Amino acid sequence: MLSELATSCPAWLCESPRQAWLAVWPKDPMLQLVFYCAIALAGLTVLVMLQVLLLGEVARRRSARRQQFNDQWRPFFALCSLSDELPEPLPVLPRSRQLWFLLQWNRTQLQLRGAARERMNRALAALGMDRKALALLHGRVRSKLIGLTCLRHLADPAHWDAVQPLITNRNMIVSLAAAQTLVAMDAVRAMHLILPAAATRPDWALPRLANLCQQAGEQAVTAPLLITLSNSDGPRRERLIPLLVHGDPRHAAPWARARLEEGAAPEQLQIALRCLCELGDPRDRALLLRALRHGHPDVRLAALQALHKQARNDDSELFLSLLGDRSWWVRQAAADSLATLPGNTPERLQSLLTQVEDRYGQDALRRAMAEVRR
Amino acid sequence: MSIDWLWWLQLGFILYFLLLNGMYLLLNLLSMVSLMSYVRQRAETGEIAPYLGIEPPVSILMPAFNEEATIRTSVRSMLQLQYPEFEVVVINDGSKDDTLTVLIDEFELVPHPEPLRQAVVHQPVQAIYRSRRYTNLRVIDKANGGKADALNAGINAARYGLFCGVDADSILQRDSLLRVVQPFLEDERTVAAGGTVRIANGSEVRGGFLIRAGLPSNWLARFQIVEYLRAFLFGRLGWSPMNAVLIISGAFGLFDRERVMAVGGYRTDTVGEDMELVVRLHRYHRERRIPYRIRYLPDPICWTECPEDIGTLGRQRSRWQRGLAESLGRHARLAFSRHGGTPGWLAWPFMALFEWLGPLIELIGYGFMIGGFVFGVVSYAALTAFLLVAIGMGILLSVNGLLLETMSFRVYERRRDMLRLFLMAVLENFGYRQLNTFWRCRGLWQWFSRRKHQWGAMRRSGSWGQ
Repeated sequence: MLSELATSCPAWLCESPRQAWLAVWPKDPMLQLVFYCAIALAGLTVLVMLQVLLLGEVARRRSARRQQFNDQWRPFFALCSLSDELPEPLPVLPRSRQLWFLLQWNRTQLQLRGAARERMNRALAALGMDRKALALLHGRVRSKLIGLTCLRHLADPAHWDAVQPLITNRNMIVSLAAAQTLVAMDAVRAMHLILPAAATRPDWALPRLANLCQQAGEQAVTAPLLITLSNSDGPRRERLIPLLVHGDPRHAAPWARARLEEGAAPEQLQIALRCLCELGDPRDRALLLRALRHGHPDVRLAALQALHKQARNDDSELFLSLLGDRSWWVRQAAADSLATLPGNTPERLQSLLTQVEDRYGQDALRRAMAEVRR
Repeated sequence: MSIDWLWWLQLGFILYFLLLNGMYLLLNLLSMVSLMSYVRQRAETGEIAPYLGIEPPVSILMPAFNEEATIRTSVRSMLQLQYPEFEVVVINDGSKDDTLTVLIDEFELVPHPEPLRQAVVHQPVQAIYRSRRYTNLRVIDKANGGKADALNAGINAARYGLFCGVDADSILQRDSLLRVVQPFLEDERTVAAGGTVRIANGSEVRGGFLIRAGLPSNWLARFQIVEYLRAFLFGRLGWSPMNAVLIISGAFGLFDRERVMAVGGYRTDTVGEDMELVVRLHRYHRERRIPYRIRYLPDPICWTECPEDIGTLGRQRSRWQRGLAESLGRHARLAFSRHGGTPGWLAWPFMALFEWLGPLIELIGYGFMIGGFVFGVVSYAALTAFLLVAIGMGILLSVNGLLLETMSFRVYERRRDMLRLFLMAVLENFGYRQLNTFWRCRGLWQWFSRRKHQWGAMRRSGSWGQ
């Protein structure tokens, strides 16, 4: 059959291309190898190009479907957030679109406050999607995160037991998302779990922990943090010490005073001074004045900032002397303190400026005076 | 004897190109893994950059030299960035045009008696201005000293612990700072982070922000789009997980100010001050055994105008090559040093072999193989094999750049744009890359002959300033 076809094939269709191919195709085995490689490379390149086009097309279609879904449900969410009653009739939510529904719900929640969020929570429960959010906690990372975000907005303590095990998840993002959800449910209880766990999780970066502490509030942070600090060993404890600034300064103050008394490391002294700065207790003045003579410029700066918070009218002399400090930052902070000291009028500042002998101190005070005049 | 020598030379060139493209393919695979993990993480944590409220304050440093056409829009767009606390410090580096006047009029600047620290050296400052309308905007007017010098003045003036160097002709996304600060929040050891720079020519820009990405009509600019995709998406991303990124683009990079001051700030005697600083940071931390991270983010967070005429482009490429040679040459002691780690044992040798000396070997390779074939010294087989590895694999690499782009951010959504980029990915291997090789060799010669460096004039459309 094939041979018949070959014999009846016109010369321009079969023979000419064959001749051309033979003319190009080399006889040398080395050249043949090169040509095979070229063909393979060209094939690979075309395949990659096709993959790019295919991926682009898939993404475009998915994006269009998603857009259509969001357009359909956005009015529903808007009505839910405005009214205590669920809008009628309820749109049909196919099982395959439940994840998109939760994503859109999470996104809408981010834009709402107060009663509107509560209404959205009630709507979710009425649709039975809270159960779907709980089920997602057993899925893969992406599902877990969608579920956790959803439960964070719901902030229902009834979901505590489902979320708590995820705090030990190996995936840092999941564990921190679980911690955030727990904080939303019950901040005090959550911090008692999170802070001891944080001591053993070096992958939980300090800024993220600080964020959790901020969300929880100082009342929830102080006690568990102090307990964790007293129970942890050296390096783990030191890592968590900066979080003290997010605690209640009244409870952190004894710790801070003890560090200043014993002359701890500069990093710890800075935290201690920030705690005392927050507290603003005049009884700490002697400790702060002592810290002003510390060799480390950052400690002096922290002490100066703490003193500034409880500065008195007669502290001009103190700040004036600090305008000659070796550290640029201390000089600037001293100038700012002087310029904003209660009772320091522009005329008085001008006369103080004439008393400054240090050239850099004068520059700093001039700058601070100009900024106060703004 | 001479036949033997010629045979080995031919083989040497073919093997060099094979190794060059093979290594890039390997880097491409590493980038693919890294990019997929990044995109997955982005999908998991949400497409929108998280706003935690604990982000450290940032000083944005904008060196400006003769930027009267674009400076107004650039500064305005900087002031509208989404970030909890930041200041913008524009450093007018002795502009000869009306850059300063435009700034004074537009932002109601008034002189401000502010002392500057002299932590890093720079040319004298003539005046410092603050804006009456924006409390977080200051302008430093100083004598001309080049971009690095201007950045040094900015570092001295910066009030915050992190500073972000931004080119005055670049466009950022609103969430650029929020994105680039993420490595600093995730890992306390981070000292620098850079993001992907994309080409804005042909895109729709409104109010200093990019509204829609598009392709330029100019073919040179289109070639550069493919080139940038290749250079950023796998030229840099592949090194990031190994903590071996040697380049953070001067157009957009976030740095820990204290660490930069500890290494002495930017060097003013190089044209590649951005790369030189990063290599110096590696060396400083490695030699002192201080834990650190230098990260690269694949997000397209900075858009820049690329040259559309061959003269400007050639000068730019020569300058880049010279900067690379200066940076690698100055820090040759990082290579294979005891504490060199991945930057010293992998990235430096790779850059030296394929990026520093590469253009020279490539140019000689092209000349020898084609000339040799014409004069009958090089066989047809050898020439074909050479062109196959030099051009065939080059096309594959460029197309892979497009694949990475499609897998990740899909900036160019239109099918027609992608097809055009395919065409560019193929065509750039026939002439454009060879021309680039020539420009880079010229840069090497300028470096070798120690020609006095100067900033080449960049011809701008200024259309963003509207």
